[in-house]
Amino acid sequence: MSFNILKTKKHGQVKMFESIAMLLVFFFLIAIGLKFYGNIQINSLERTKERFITMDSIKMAILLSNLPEVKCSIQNVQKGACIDLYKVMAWEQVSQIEPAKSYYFNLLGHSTIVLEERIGADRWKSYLMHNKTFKENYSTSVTPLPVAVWNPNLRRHNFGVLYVKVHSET
Amino acid sequence: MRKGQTEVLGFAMVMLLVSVGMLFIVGFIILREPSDIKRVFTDKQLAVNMNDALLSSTSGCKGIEFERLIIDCAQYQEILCDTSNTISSCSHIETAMRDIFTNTLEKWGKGYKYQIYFEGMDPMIHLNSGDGACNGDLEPGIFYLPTTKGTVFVRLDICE
Repeated sequence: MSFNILKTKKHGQVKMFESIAMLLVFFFLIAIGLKFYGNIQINSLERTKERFITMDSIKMAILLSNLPEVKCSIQNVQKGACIDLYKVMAWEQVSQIEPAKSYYFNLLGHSTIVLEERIGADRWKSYLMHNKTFKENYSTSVTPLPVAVWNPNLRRHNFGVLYVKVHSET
Repeated sequence: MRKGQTEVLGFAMVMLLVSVGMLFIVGFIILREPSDIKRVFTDKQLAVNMNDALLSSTSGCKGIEFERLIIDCAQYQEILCDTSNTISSCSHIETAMRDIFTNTLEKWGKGYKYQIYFEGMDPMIHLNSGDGACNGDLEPGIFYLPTTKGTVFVRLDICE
């Protein structure tokens, strides 16, 4: 009788060991799956974030090129793809003083906006319109927008590029 | 076959099926076409904006705008751009455009093809990006200028 009990116990132990081993394998596979899925999710989130930053940058480029503060206008009629140089110069000064400073920060956020004007063969002049960066660890998405730069004093257009650089914390 | 072995085999098969399913899902996520918003916007808008801005800009030849200079180049080439009267409107356009494209499109890593032509004829001016390669998807920005000899096409194609 005692022999039978021992035999049953041994058989039960084997079954229990089998179950534990299976559970271990199962949890191991679950853990690997979760890790794998987590990595994919992280990559996907990174891509989505990048896409949103890009869209922000594009949105800002369109917004800026249509701002009446800088856009060319002749007798109150606005011209497409044209930036008034004297309005930009005025912007450079005014946007540094409150309440315009806060207003433009709310509008343009953390970004750098530079207008580069071609003043001759291989000669370019830069105008810094807005510059607000993070202190450290940030990435930037740049959208260049070609524009005509109108100089009302000389009454002529020069070719120019509006660089919109949107910053985001990493 | 023992009962335990059958169970393990069943479990292995379930796992195999789950793994294959997950591989399909993962493959679908990874191989999905990446978002193209920026390329479509930058290339298409860039081509149109660039051409538009260029046409209204001063060319550096006697204060004349590119638009007028292109019309002259397409018509009689009467405008000469230097004091010794040797540089024609066409060659000035070519030099100035190359300088602009080198400092913009090439700097931004964009390929381009710039052509000024009458429909059905060889281009009067034809500029390509540095390596000359501009295959794949082209985003054109086309402007039409009226001349006495017909409509001249000013076309800028931008590619990755």
